[in-house]
Amino acid sequence: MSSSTAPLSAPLAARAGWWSRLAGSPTLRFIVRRLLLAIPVLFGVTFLSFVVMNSLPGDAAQELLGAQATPSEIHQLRAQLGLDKPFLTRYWDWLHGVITGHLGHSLSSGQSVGSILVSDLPVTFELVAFAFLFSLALAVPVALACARKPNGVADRLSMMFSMAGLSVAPYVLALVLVYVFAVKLNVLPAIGWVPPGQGLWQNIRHLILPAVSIGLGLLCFYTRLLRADLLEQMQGEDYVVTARAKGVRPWRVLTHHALRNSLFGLITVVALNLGTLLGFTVVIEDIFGIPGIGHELLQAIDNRDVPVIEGIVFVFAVIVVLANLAADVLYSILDPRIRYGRPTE
Amino acid sequence: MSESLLEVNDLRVDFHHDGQLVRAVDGLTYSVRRGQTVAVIGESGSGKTVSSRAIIGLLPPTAKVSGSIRFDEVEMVGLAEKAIRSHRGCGVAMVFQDPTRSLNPTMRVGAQIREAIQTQAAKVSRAAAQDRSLELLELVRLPAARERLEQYPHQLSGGMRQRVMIAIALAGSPKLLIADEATTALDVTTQAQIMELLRDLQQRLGMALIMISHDLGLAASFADEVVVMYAGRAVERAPTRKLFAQVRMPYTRALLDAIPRLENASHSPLAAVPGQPPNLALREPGCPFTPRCPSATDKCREHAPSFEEHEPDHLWACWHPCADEVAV
Amino acid sequence: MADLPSDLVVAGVAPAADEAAAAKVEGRWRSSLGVIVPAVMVAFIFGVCFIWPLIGPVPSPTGGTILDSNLPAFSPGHFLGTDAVGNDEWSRLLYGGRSSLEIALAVQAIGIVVGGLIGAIAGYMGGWRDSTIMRLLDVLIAFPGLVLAVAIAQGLGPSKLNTIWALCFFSVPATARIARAATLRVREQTFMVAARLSGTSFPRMLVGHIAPNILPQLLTYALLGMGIIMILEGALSFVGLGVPPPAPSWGNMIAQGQSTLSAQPRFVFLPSAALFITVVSFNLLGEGLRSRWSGQ
Repeated sequence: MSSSTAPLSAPLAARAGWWSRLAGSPTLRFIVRRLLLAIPVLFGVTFLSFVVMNSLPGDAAQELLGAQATPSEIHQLRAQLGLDKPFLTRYWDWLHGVITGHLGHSLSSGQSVGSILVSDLPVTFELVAFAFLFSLALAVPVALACARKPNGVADRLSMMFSMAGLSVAPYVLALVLVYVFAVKLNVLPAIGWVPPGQGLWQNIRHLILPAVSIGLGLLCFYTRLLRADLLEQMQGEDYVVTARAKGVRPWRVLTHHALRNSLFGLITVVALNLGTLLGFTVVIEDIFGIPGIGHELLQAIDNRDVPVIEGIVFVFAVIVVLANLAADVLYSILDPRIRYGRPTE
Repeated sequence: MSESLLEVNDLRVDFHHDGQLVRAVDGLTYSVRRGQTVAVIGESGSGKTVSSRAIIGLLPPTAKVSGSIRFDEVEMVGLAEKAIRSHRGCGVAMVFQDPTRSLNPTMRVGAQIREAIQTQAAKVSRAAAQDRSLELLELVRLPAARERLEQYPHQLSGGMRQRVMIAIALAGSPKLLIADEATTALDVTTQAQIMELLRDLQQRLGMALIMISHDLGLAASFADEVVVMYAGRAVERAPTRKLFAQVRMPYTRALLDAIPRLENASHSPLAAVPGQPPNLALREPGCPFTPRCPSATDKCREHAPSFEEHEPDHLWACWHPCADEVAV
Repeated sequence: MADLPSDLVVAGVAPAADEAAAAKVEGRWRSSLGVIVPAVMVAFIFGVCFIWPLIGPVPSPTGGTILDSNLPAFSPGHFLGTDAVGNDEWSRLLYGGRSSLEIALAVQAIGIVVGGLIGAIAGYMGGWRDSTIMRLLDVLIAFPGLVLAVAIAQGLGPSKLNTIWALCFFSVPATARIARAATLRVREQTFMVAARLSGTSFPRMLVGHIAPNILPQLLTYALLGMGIIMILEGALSFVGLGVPPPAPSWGNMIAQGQSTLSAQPRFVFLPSAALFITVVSFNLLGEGLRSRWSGQ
């Protein structure tokens, strides 16, 4: 009876309307509000790290010149590097620099902090992306399989393994993996990193062990979380009963109904966890000799290279804050209750 | 093809809880004919919802069902999950109490109706399912059906959501529709509209209807037969007219008296049924209504009366049934 | 949890919504087992690390001679062998465990006291105090904890005490958040409102009313956190901070063993296994307790 255009126009109109609704919508205001809130947090973090860095014993100039340096040499270098200016002045200078895009120069190498970040960030990004992909891609199917038959064999085994996986320190896992795969089996490299430009397969090979070291803990964590959420949905929510009453197969109820609603919780947790993840990335990069910002940070801390430390800390903070913001935004987009606002009559 | 669509015989449902066995339904017997409307009336804890869930097989895994439920000549008790599933939607369908929570908030209305359609007939194309969804929404008299298909449940009012639930339930052209407190969460006007809709649909589609409620007044208006449940058992059962003309069970009498009436003097106290429903974990001998019954005697405390047909078409379980009186 | 059919609610029955309820169905003893077994394991580990060296034949973890170095396992007098400078591995394992456990205990204890106090104040007072504190905590939590700990530990220099300070920056905000949430939940209960109305002073409220009600949750959280703190301590040692050698801690043992991984894998695997078992025990204990509390 109906033609192809009539039913099509309704959904199309509804979707085009999405943009205009968004513009005036609570969603946009929500995003803007969160952005504004994020700024003080960013300030706070950078200020805190500046305070920490500068109130600790030890001196950059001393480090750079070594133990043999005379006091006057140290004094000279300090003046040169601007380290003798009062604390707040330095912070203000730095802040000014950040806003205008000038992050200063490394005290040890003279390279601009900006260029250091630009060359190191993509490496860390690739590693973290791999770790995430690995953990999320496996967590979803495993959690689904567990929720399908709670307390069944697969479920119990998965829970046991995930408890074990959560309890392993990433650096321990890294060393175990290196021992098994690099030393004994010799199939994967123990250290080093190859840029994608020089061979994609080699690039991936070098990232497998580090990514799994970080990713396994994440995998276990996400699996447990998702499984718990799925079970909560399946056992406690009315719409699940409706779906079953319709005759929908249990597997489909899990994937098409419960999973959609559980993903929200997962997104929030992923964002919240990012800080811890980045922390361990630092150690993993050190073990595997991966030239990312984590590795750079450790070196800078060793050298008391304050501008570099500040720059990296700032970037870390920005990433974490943006990730949380992104999670909020994603949440508000995905949850139709927020996106479409109040009911119409 | 027999007249009787559903035969519930001595249905018992037990739950394991905290090491105890709780009997939520204790020997329920009634039947529903094709096209008939049966009202199952009771308070919270009477077992009315549990028994209806047992028919469609939607009890939690901690439940143990025994007795007999024959739907369309097929014994449902003890049937494998897959087989029960094949009856859902096309044989028995259910409409629930709270349409807000009974619809998936992250799925468009149209998608949820289409899912019901496609679960019943897998080969149906999306376009055909879309058409059928529109038909169903028009059948349940939802205005602006086309726009509604693309909306999410929270964008609709309570009454509209319930219509959508009914549309979903009708997707498979079920022979029996169970409305579990389907109108309890709605305001009175909408309630009347939905009940009218259900009655109309029933007549048009030749569908049997079980309406589960605590509202005797509703039963009076819409049901052919009424089953009154208490503490997991049926305590009175009769065609509607007969029941209201000659109420026998003191419990049913009390329920009737509890309905506020316009004729009563203003500010007169509501005649509530005194006391609390019994704790189903502690089964005592004797009639479960005894503590709250105005006509209770020692005999009631010691021996539970059996549910029998004491008058033609009128069954009850009581040692001291109410006498005849003028119908209200 | 969704509204159940009222019959089920009145009958006092609920479907198994989480592990705790499932355990009820299987029997309460199972959930007790979930607490008892890990508790025994934790007690055993503590006993081995703290008590055994005092009463049993355990050589000193430091001061070995180079003549005894790199003895394999099951050598006479050194049943786990010796390390590169001749220290007994078994002893290092025990004393290292003691170090790591002491640090974790101290960090969590400070977390409970300081974090609990901050969180309780924020939750109870509400208003601008609450918002300010929460913003500050957000800042600390938003920051990658390990990076902060590394920076602090590096600045202060490697030592046991400094490691504890550094890790406190991790545990205090996290515990504060939990304490605040718990206080919020407790605040509106009748007895609390009554106490407030009768003019009870804040310190007394804190000690007499708030503390007893949020402590169980804080303790459970602290137990769950023991694992991650020990792992973080290991991470600090790994990057050269944490407990300085020659004094052992599991973290610095693993780090030191890294260089001889292929030749003497046991230097890495022994402390790793010890750390793993300990963390698993704490995690299981915390989970067991948590499902018991939520089940009730």
